[in-house]
Amino acid sequence: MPYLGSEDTVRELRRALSNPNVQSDHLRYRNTILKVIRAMSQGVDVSGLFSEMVKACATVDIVQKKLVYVFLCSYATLNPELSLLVYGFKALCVCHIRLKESDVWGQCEMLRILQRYRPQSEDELFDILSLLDGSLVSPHPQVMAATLSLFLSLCSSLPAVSLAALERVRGPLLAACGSVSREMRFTAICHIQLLLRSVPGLMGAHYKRFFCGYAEPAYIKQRKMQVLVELVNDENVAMLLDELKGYCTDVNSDTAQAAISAIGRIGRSHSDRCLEILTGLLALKQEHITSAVVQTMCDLVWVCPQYSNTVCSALEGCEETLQDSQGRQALLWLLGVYGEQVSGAPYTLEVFIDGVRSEASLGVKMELLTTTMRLFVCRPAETQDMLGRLLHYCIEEETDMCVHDQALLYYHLLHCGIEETRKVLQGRRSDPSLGVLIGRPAEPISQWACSFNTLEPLKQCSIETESASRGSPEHLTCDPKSNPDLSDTINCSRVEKVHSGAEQMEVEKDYVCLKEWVLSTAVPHCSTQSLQAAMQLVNIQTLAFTPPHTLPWRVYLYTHTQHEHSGDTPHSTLILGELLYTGEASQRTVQPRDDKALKGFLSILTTVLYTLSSEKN
Amino acid sequence: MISQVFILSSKGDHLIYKDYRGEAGSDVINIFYEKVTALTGDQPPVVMSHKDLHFIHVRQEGLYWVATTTAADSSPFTIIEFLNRLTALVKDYCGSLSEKSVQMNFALIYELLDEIVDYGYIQTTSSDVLKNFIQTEAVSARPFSLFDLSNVGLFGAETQQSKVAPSSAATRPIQSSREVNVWDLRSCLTVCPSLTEMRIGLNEEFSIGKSQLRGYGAAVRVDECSFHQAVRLDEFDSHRILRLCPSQGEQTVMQYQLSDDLPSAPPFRLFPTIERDTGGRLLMYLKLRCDLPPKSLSQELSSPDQSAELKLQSRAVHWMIPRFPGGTQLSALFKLEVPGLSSASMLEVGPVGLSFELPKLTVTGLQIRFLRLSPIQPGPSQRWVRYVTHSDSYTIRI
Repeated sequence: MPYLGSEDTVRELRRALSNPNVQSDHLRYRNTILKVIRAMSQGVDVSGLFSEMVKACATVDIVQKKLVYVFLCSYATLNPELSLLVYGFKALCVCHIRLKESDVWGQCEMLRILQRYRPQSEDELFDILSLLDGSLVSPHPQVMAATLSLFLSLCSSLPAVSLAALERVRGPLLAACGSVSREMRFTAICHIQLLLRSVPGLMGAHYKRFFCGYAEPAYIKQRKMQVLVELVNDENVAMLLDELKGYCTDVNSDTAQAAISAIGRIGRSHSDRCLEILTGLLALKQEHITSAVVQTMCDLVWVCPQYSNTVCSALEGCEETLQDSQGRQALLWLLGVYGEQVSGAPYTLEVFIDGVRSEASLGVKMELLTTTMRLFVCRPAETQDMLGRLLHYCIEEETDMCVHDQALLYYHLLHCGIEETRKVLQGRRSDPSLGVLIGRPAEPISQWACSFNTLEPLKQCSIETESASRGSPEHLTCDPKSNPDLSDTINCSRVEKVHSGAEQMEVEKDYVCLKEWVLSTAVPHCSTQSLQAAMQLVNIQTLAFTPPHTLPWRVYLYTHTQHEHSGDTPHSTLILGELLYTGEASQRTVQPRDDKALKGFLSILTTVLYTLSSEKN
Repeated sequence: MISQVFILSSKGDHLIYKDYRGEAGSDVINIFYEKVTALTGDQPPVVMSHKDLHFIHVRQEGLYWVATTTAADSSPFTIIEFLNRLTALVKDYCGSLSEKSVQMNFALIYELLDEIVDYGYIQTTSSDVLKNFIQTEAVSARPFSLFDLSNVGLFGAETQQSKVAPSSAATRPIQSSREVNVWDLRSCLTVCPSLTEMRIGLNEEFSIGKSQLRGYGAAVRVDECSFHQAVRLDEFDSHRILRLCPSQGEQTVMQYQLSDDLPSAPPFRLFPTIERDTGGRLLMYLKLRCDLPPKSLSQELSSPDQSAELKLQSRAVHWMIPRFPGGTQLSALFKLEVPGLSSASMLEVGPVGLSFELPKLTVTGLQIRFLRLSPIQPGPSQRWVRYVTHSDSYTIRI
């Protein structure tokens, strides 16, 4: 071919590509396309040929199709802006041709590429949306998902349009939930969970589609149960609970525990029915079932303390069935907080204390200490003796430093007087500002839109980490090996709350910074575990700390306090604290305007630090 | 964008490995297998990650079909659908899907993998298109015999060319020579030359959607249905006719869903009695009734050859019933020694799960009125329409 200037080259090529004689001859068409690619690789600007090349893609000639793909992909990498067309009209043509004539995989690729394109006007936007509308309800789930993803990104500033799109994909998503392929079912369910975050009522009428087949794998059953919990309402609650009850005796113990946990979550809004079911399950005297029920009841009573009576009467005798440490820890917590209502509490406790030498679980021992102390405060006569024995063992014989330090702390606390002890140990009631986790407010679509149609939703273990291995809701296991990693030491639901609280503060810029000097010789020298244990007693959580004996030594803390007399709207105070030791003790806190709460916090913190100091002396 | 595709046996044997992009090495195969076997039952295995690489897999016939990608924003729908299509292609080409057939046809599978994905981008999974490119012949894992008549009783064949066994036609590998059509209500297998249009007539009174008037609603009804992309619906509204140009291999033409108001009674009903006897043993007396009309089932009226087995691992009793004539009733009494059986434990018994295949029956009443090919094919053409109802999860709580 004689040498031509690049403009001429492009013109020649365009003429060839548009020539119907060339188009009807596969070999000539293919060769022309090859020339285009060759020119592109030689640095010629072939952007003017983009639409002709895309038209060339609409062919059954596989080789030709592949060549055009090569062109498109290389072009996209080299000229991302250009390739997505400043030529608005051409984008529509491209869209239209591709969607009508390519197969599903081509459509998916096209939809992905379009993600990067920004429409030039609202008219163009709506033109594109109406073109895509048919693909939104495609029977092929991958096309539907790619289309919705594109829709959501194009309509990020048009929430009404986005919501309408979510309603449209309900049918195809539900169909995918019934797919023969279990992996496809799983994918669809995970994505439905995303949609439910913004439109909780989306699947309400179709809750039966999420009933579990008995042979389904456990991981699918558990996701379905999570969805069922979200769909509960007054009309379907009876049928839903009946169904979940059937899963509680599943052969797979993880599934059974997840079902029991699900019933517990529903119990926050439909407590009577759920408690009846849970109590009935205790009668089976099955170890894993009893453990899950006790833990679930713990969670339930944490949020709905008015049911403590029912829970306590149900607990009679279940300590015989409990074997695992989480279950026993949960039972102990209940006995500690509601010990006054359980007549046999001291005797149950005594059995634990008698067996403490052979107790392997750290968490159980820690909980036992706290529970016995609490019970002592309200039932001293019955508990004094066993408390003494327990403290003696833990201080003199126990090898684990966590337990030892905790017991020592309690010992000193007792010396401060019974009133001081009662104040510090007062059973923490849940902070109602945590909110009931069912019926949470609808999130804006933007929160999850970017993870729709990615691998992300299939990887998360669950939306609310309601693992059955949390033991008591308040006392976190003091694991000497735990790293100061947020997710390890903090209950996830609280983490969410902390984040939202912190963000709010930044936005409102309504906070107070305070510095306080505390004289404490203990702090840099005591073990982090002791400090953490001491703080947890007063509901101050540690976020992170530097290794001990390093300077400057820092500990980051946070806590949540509730206004006592706050008028009509109760609001809580989030306090973030940093303990800093550079040689001199200092302290800084950040919080919304609330001096009272801050002073309360400081006084408690000071007490703890003084106690630690006196311990060391 | 797919980086690698590999197929493993359930024991972790490497059957097939294909690398498209050179982003990772073949050592990831063992990493995948270790990870997937280390998961507990409640941890989802579908997507797993190792450093920057993500594994997505489907399990079919005990084999692991795995794709890897470095892009965390890859579409799981796309990759899973691709893997499912791959297994369907292998099944169509090799006749059956099993470790053995994969091992015997590795050359064919490599050729398929070469054609369907290019540098990680999915090109096509259409058997029509691929037949122009795939050269390798399939090797059948099971010798195919025209005289395999074991299942002939299940068919209501219209045009009986008696020597061909319809059920095994579904497992015959794709060949271009014979013209054989086998239809399930959900799938279509055809080996006829392309460019043939097929017209399928469904019941004229077939309707979609919840009936507004109870008692006046259509007899044949589904809540929702969706059609394969290739199906033309221009005659559907007027005459309930579907038109399509079927491609080689198996396809799902139509998928539908029906809940709550079934037109007929459930095929099986169970009347259980669960008791504890004086010796502390668990007694389960099960009366199982089949309410289907007698003539709709197999012609054989041989007495059932039943057996029962206790599976300790799944804590279940399996009662095997090879044939169950319609309109009859079977009963069984199971006595079990259960240590520590209390009255509360009785609540734990159940549910009863039934697993069955009902030939010549559709629960919805959906029927194929006719099946026409155009252009009209010269010579006799064989076509079969087979109605089957499979149980997926038929559970009775007691």
